[in-house]
Amino acid sequence: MDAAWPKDRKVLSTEVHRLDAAIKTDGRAKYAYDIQFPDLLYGRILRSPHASAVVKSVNLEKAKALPGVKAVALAGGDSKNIRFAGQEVAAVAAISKQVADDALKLIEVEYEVRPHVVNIEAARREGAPEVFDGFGNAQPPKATRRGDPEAAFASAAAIVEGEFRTPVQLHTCLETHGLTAKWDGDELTVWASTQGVFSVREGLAKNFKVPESKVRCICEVMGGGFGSKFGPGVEGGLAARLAQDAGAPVKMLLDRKSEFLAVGNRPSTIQKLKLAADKDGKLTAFSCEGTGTAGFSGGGVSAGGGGGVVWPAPYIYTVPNHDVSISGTTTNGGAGRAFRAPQHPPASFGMESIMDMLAYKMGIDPVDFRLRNDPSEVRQREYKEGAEKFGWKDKWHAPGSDRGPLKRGVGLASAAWGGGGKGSKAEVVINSDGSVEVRCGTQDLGTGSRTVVAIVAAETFGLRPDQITARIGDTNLPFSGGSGGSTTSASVAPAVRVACINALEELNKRVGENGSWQERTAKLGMTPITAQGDWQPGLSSSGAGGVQFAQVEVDTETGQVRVLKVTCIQDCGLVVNRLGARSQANGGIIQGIGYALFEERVMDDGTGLMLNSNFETYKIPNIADIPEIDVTFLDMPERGVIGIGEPVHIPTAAAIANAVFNAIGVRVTELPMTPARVLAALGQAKAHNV
Amino acid sequence: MNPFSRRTFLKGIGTGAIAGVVRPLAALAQDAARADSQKFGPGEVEISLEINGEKRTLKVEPRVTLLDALRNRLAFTGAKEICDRGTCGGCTVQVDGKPVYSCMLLAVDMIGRKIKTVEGLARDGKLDPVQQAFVEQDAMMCGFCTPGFVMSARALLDRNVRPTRDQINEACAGNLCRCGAYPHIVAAIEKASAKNA
Amino acid sequence: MNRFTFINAYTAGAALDALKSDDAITVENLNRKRPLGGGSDLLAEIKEGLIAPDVVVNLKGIGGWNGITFDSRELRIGATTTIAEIADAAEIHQKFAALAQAAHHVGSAQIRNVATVGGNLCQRPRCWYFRNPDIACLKKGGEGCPASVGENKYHSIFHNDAPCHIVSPSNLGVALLALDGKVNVTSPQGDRAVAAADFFRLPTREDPFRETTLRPGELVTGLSVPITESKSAYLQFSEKAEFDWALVSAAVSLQMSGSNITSIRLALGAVAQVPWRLPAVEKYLMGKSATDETVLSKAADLAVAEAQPLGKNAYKVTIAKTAVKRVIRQALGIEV
Repeated sequence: MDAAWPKDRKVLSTEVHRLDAAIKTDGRAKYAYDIQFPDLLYGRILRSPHASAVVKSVNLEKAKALPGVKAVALAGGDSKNIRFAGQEVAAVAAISKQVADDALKLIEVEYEVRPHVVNIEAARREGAPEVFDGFGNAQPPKATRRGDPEAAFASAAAIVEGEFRTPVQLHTCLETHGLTAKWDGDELTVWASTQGVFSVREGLAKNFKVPESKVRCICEVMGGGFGSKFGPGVEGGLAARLAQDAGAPVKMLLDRKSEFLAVGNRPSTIQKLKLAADKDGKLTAFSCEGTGTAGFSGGGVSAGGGGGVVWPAPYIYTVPNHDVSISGTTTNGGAGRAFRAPQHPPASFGMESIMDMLAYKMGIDPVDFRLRNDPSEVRQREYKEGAEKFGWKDKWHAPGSDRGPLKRGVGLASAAWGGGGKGSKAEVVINSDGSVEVRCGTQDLGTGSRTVVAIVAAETFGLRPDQITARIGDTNLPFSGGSGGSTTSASVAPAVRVACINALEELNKRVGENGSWQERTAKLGMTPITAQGDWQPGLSSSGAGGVQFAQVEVDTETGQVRVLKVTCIQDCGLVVNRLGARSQANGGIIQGIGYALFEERVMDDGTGLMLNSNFETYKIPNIADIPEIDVTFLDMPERGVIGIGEPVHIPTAAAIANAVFNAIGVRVTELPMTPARVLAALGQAKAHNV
Repeated sequence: MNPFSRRTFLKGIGTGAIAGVVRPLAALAQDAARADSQKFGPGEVEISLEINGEKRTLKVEPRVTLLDALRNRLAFTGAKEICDRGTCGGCTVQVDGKPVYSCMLLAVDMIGRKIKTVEGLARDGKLDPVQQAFVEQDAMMCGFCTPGFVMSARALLDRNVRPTRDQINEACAGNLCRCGAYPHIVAAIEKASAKNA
Repeated sequence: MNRFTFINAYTAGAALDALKSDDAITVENLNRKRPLGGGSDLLAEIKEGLIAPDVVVNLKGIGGWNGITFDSRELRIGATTTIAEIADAAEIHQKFAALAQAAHHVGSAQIRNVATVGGNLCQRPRCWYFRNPDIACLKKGGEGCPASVGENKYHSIFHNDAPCHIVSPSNLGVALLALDGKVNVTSPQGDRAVAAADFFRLPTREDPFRETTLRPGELVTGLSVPITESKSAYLQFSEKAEFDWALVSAAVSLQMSGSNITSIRLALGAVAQVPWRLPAVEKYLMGKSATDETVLSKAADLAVAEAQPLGKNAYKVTIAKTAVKRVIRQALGIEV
């Protein structure tokens, strides 16, 4: 039987309610954070209040002696050298959160406080304190060069230059990082909030020097990861250690402040860009000198990696002559980690901003300018269809030309994402009562993976998705990799498809092809069908584009920016669940709105501390910030399944920034575009500076 | 002269009260009949709370929040602890029919109040229309914010069967969703509202 | 949170007894015993480790402290009345629009349902240096104000010769100042009514600890606003559309004869350590046309004439000017 996706699809590509929707609405869904045991202990971590220090001594005795405290541990590893405020120093497990809090206050730590650097300029200054002794804070540049950029700039018809800045953005998963750990003899079970049950297992097995076969990781549902939850993390290791020492299960889910400080971020960027074109508006030369900070580290193995500074430039465009040099800056901040399309949103903001500048300078319509320069055939289609759907021609006007203080404007930007995905395995059981269980050790971040599994099985067997029991999120299930890079659906769906096809062949062989599902499975008797499937090529692919258009309204007397509309045109291969895909696109766009307008880590030079480690001052979009969002998928079923979680997020902020320029006729070159920055760009605030 | 001593205030209640806003006189009389004050803790005290129509007895120190009591002492884990500072709405429950942040209320302060959690919405095993609309509109992704949103939305529709988009924004701005399910949440509330009417 | 004794007070006397304190103005005396209204601010302070009170006294059970009443002279609102009750009261919308609109902008629905009038007036500042337990500052008994040269985008633009650059976070305070309201206070020495302008206080080097003139052990019992023929309005500009603190807010109460202003009280919020009244602007506007753009622009310029922005908050000066113009238009029902 051919595993190829059917041309005539009954379930695939339709709108399917997610299988676990009901239990998420009424509290039945049990997150790692909801796991309960009668003897459960609560773990808490003591963190350094200094950005740079050496831990001279830690006295745990008073904490240990507090009634209700069951275990106390030092953070271990390189925890003597404090490289950011929020770094783990010690941990406790106690019978209640209150006792654990009390115990933290009893831990005495002697710090030798050292000078810190938390911002890029300070870190790169001559004689700046070094985050790692003997290593400068300016990291060796990654450079690429092509053609003869100097000559190309010299002969260009038009050149624009600008400096663009993006902030450190925090993942702010609503369920904080962490897990609940329980030992039974030498076997460890953890309920983790994770994007990779197998990578958590691997990390813990290494940490405790036990075979992976003795460690089980379970993740039924989890409260958001966005790239930051692949490994057990320091907190996961500490939870397991405390559980071992206490001889009782320990729940260690971070508090909100720790979540802001210590479990990853999207590095900042400073991009000095220069772009040139010939008289036909074809790009001829590009240069980029850049830096940014991923804190003290770009994210280690336990963090899942992917959190470095260096971004792709000139991003989606091909410029025959270019000179790119990007050097990361080490600072006393929490480490960067992969964050939804790592490095791409800042790349898009810088490149699409300078593209827009050049288009306006040359008097070429911004859409037309992209059509002249974007080499992607898919995006060529998306520019045209998107402009049409968005009403670009009607909405576009000369920059800043609205009368009155409220000015509207439009802009666009584009994305590219590799994606792909492979390696998943799945197993299918068909029972004689007709029930079907599909088993695959992937996990559902909220992207709807559980439902994807059910949809593929339902399509293959001619059933409804709610007739499928999809078992995921457990290392006792067949292997599937971490959910990141928009690879999950492309990895999981083919494996499930192959397993189901194999099961169907077996069913046909044993009971024939005639009769209803119920009649046929009834003939299976005592021996259910069990079939396996491995991911195979041909059912999924990689490479997505995507174009977004934004309309904004700017209040030029207050600097407030409101997004009125976002139109997203996204190519996506074979859509698995149209409802879930739309949810994801909305979500990517909304995170992009946060990046454009609100989100920014504020580090204080004087104290070295993060000042806005809470939702009050680290602002993410809420329901009142949401514009009209119009998402169109360009179905390309012949390409198989392609993930879209990341491309839908990439261009939003850049499109909004370009729309702000069109509205007010002045470019805001730094994200987020707060009233302070918009008014500064308008030159109104400056006049009052003494 | 004091224009606002307690005596004149009480007198004021009798003369010019706004209907529905002022505490019922009966309650004031009850207050007066009690002792002048009542002391709890600082150690554990036994209290009774009315949760989803049932009386539950538990022991808490006064510093224990309603959220902690619900989640860790009574196993109502629907309400989530996300920020623990009254900024995200993940812990939203209803107290006397009004949505509140349970992380910013003390359990000992909830004696005599009617607490409703997300576990108490479904009737006879059937989801509340708001919950059903959330399912149908895919008004969630990771789902961690969902119980809080459901409680805010339910309270809104109890007060206002046909809320405008602005009223939905006002009622739900205190609930954060990081996955960005907002457009579908709005659709779900509008759908539940249409069913309401 | 630290352990504390919780006391339900059912009478004002019992509350005062439970909160009795040494009268000296010290961080310790101001925080060892704290009254509890809605708890949105108090519990956050305790959770953050900014304070560790021994005693928390719940005021919500005090008879007669909850409610909204009128007589022929004034509106009175008890201290434990919730912000939602104010925002929802039709009569307040009609006669004291500034107050209703100020209440409406407080926090989120969940906060408005528990937050009280007393708590709104007495809440501590949102300064992120003050709120960080790992940072010492004047307010907490430390040295100096890190905001003066640090990250001060949300800080004061007026009166920056002061040793501390917080902004008063109370929405109601701004409205109350414009409406010529009073804060009613009780203490073991008796009751008194304090004009809004005298309730809030500027920080001094000797006493940077208090934002109000309440002494240790004193309590707000409510507020009162005189009934007049004035039109009033409150507005605020924030970074987010909903559930955000004001970058700048404004409240006005005015009377007109035709298009001319015959009486006016105007205040800005989130621009100084206290709700910031603008007497020079009021004086200028008397007798002038409120619909004349030139007049409004002049008033806006005058409003910020004495602004002393810090390194990162000059933008608030622009917003303050906008707030002055727009709050007057809002009071008169004129579109932006």
